[in-house]
Amino acid sequence: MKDNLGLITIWFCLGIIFTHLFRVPFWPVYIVELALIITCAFLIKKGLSFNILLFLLGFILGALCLKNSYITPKNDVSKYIYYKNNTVYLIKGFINNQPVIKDGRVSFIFRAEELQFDKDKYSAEAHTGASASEEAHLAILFAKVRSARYNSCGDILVYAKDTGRLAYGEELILLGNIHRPYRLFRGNISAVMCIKNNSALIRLNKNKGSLFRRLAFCLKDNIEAVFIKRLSPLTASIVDAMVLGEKRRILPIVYDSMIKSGTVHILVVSGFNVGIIAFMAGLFFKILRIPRKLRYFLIIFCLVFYCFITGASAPVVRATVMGIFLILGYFLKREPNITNSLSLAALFILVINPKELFSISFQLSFVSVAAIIYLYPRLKSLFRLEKIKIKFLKVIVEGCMVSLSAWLGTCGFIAYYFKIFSPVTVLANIFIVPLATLITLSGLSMVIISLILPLLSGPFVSTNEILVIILLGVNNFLINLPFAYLYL
Amino acid sequence: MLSLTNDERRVILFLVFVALLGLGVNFIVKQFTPTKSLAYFSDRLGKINLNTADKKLLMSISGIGEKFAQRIIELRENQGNFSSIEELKNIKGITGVKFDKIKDYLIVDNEG
Repeated sequence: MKDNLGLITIWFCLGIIFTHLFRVPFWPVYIVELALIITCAFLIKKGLSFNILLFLLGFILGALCLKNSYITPKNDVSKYIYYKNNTVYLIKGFINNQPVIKDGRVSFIFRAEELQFDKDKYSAEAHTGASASEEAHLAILFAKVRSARYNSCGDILVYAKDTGRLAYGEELILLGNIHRPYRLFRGNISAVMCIKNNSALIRLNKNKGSLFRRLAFCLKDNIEAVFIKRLSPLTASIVDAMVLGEKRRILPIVYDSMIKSGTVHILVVSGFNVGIIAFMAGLFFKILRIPRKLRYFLIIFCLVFYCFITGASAPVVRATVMGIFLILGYFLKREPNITNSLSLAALFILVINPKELFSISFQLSFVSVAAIIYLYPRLKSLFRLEKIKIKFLKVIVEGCMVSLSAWLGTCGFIAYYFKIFSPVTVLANIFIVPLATLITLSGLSMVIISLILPLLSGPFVSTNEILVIILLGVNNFLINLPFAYLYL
Repeated sequence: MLSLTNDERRVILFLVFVALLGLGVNFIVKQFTPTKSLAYFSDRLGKINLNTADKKLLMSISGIGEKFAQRIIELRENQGNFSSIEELKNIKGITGVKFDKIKDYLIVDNEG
């Protein structure tokens, strides 16, 4: 299947964009798709007609996926919430991610299970200014539901103050207002709740959620504790971002300078980190003399575990899926195809959540890799790199070409979203990326040594400190070059 | 264009069919999820006791500022414990809208 999945994925994405722009009815389109599958089954031996129908199948499937993601269950928490209401809700459920502490408040995603509110008050407020269709929907809702406590589902975003330590899976009852910001776009979350005191948060002292994720978050906390304990605050913040993707402690001035040089991608976990984890895990299992086939499965387990530790963002899921398919390719002794792996990763993410197509992180992650795959070989032959005889020079020029390919692919997106144009990125990546690799390796080694033999972690601590100073120095030098960057 | 073998085509068709089936089932489940009425939670759950709350706790309620919290505490100290939430209406500066906004966060409990 040479590069075939790439075209199907493009048609799938076009279907998603079509549904985003135009109103699509679910069932008629569903029936058309079903009819197309049957037609395809009859045309399986026809070349061109089958291919055209397959593209159409991909297109309609993408459209249906997005349409389905717009539909929420009848008992979804958002169905009980009206824009700008003062109704007080009691909501029971559990914390569905690792709580993030920033500026003295905790934010987390809360999976609703039961919901209680003052029906009369809600009804009165919701009807004020509601459109005819909304009023009809509410009338149906309240006619069916007599009591004021219902089963519910769906996620809400919660901001809490003065509530003490919270953890993933903790079962809680929350009391407060829930509102729906007009354009909240965060996956499937449509509502926000603010908790301002400890009495509005009742702990049920039970734990829900998966054991696997709980273990991953527990390990993440321990690793973060090692960074905070052993490194200076500045170095800890940067190493934490590079190894675990945790950016909340990064100083704004550091973050801003990385944006200017176009190297902010090293502060998020991406394929680069996943590659390092796969390499380190492979090496470790090889030293333990674990058989080759079993080693592959253990590496896959490590990658999935790391994906959960870092919060399963789009770049990590992409890299993990690509990594898994690459490893499976070796396992099955098949030649790995990078385009198909990338397409499969995109399909995997988009089938689960088609709205990801419109997120910046998804776009940048996939466009940069696609640009490297497509442009790098062309640039290589254009500049005739094979004629360079000096090996050291060849490595540097090749690095330049990879960096240039990624930059060419992403510069339009970066200019559109961040209003900045940074020609220095091509040069910066050549120096910054190797440094970031060393910092990530050194950081991970420090964690492993600190957990096994804390006394020996000293040299790793010093290495990390020096590398971070060099990284910031180089970055600062580059952004001060003439025409390094310009705001649009 | 695509260069697929017949077996690969069959596999792709099968996968598309499975995905489509899954989408249909998911759509139906969403449409027909029942809304169940459950037993009522206690009215007191998570609410702040007007007779024991300090100024900071009162101020954590949306709609109660520093001055209003101070007036609540002064009234409690001067007249003794509240016997009902309606007594808040006697405090200077409270409107009907404001009372409606804060009353759901408060309870009156003389034992607690």
